[in-house]
Amino acid sequence: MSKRVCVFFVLAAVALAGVVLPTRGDAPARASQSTAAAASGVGEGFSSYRAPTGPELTPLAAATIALSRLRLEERQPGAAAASGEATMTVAHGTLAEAKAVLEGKPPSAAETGSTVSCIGANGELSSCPIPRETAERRQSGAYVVAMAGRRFAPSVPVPPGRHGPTGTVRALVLNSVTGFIEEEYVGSAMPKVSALQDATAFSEGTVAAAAASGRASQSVMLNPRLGYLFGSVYRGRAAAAGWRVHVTPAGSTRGGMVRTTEQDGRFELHILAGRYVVSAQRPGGSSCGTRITRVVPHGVAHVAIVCR
Amino acid sequence: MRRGALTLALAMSIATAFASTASARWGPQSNCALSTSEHCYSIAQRPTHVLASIAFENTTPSADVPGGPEGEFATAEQWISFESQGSRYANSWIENGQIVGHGYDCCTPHSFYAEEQHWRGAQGWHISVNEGAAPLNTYNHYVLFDAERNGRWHVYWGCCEVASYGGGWPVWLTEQQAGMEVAAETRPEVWGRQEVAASDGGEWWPWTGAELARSPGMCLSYNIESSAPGNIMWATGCP
Repeated sequence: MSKRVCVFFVLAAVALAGVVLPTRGDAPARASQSTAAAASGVGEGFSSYRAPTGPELTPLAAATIALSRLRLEERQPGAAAASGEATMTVAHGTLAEAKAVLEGKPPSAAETGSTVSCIGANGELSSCPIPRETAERRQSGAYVVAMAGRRFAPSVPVPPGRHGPTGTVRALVLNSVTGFIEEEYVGSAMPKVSALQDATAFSEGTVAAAAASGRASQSVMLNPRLGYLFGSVYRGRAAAAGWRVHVTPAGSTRGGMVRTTEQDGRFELHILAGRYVVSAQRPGGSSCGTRITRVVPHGVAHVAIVCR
Repeated sequence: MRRGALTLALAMSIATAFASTASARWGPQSNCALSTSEHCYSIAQRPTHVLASIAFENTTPSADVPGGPEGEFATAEQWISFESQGSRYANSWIENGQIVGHGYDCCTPHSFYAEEQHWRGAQGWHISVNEGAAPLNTYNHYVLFDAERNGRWHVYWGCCEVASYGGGWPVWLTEQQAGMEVAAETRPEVWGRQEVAASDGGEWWPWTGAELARSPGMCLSYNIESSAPGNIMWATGCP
């Protein structure tokens, strides 16, 4: 009997048995490999995430996406028939602010630190600079869509034998550019979306009518709060390639966004209007060339940083 | 690595041999479907008493959940729970891993974490999903860890913390589960494997013993790349 066929039968036998198997004492080699890799910065690129840029959805378009998800869930086999008209409230913030609100906290409690806990080569914890994708996710634009008015019971991941969530409140957080649903909540506590920006209430009928007419999808517009920041970093007269640039809201002690300069020393961001402190970080870790700049809605701000 | 790929290919052959083409409801008794009581699993589980649960989840060589855009999904993940520490923790858990489908597309794994809790007065379920794609054919590193022993559970993807839940959870997790969950009306073509560990901070340990369990319709085997307890492979389509 060939080796392949032997493996086939072993696998089949195990699959058919589905019972308690004997154990062996292998060391978790993956753990040591991965933590060593993590310590060397693998987590910097854990996924393919890049903060999307471009025009933002309108609140009505965000509500349309949320209603589409809701109706999808209610059409699924085994789902209870929908009863009652949902009320929908939409508000805007960063993903970190939206997440805080969904957890019953004020937007000011949003995670915005410039460092995070990380796991070292021997499993020990330390403080590391926040990975690019985590920083960009937190600061990305988001809509919270909070819905009430009927009972919600989506089919979602649960441990074996457990009940799925049910509740009278359903909330979704969508990326404000792509509409990707990044956070969800089912429960009994209505998030305080009024604590975010531009809270707007819609009836389900209004949203459904807009979706049917295509009005929502046509109503995508530029976010009036976004502008561009372009910059260059120089080491003396030479372009500083691969340097990290920290962009922090002025007056805040918490971290903002991080960019890495391109080969020509340039970097760019599409960010909310406001005053920002911009500083470069040398490869050795020290900061240099701090500048303060203002980004205005739809405007372009330029900043040049020169370090010795 | 080549041996692992060969074995997974064979597991896929098993799946194909025993399964018909994609159809509404699936499994030998049409037992696998989308509604919560009909989710199907291939998992390893054990009772324990530790501060950290570690899982390396590998969706390989690809994933296809045809009903993914309609809300069907397949996960590779770990769950921790606390039920043995009191009835108020019943039906409460934290999970962390990667998901394909769930209203997104058919084939892209997204990292996620979620919690359901029923003991703060206002019960609730939260999930957070990363729009970026988690790598295929790689052991992606997921950790749940109450490092400060204060009932706040920190969630790690790769090197770094991405969020935390709590406080108010128990300090020690007492049930560990890890593996694959499928919620679909149409049988997905998904294979995967995992390695699991635990820790009280610092050094990580393999599990000491594991119960393996699977739903009819799901395949389950040792992970031949590392056969420590709880290290398993899975696929859809077995009897």
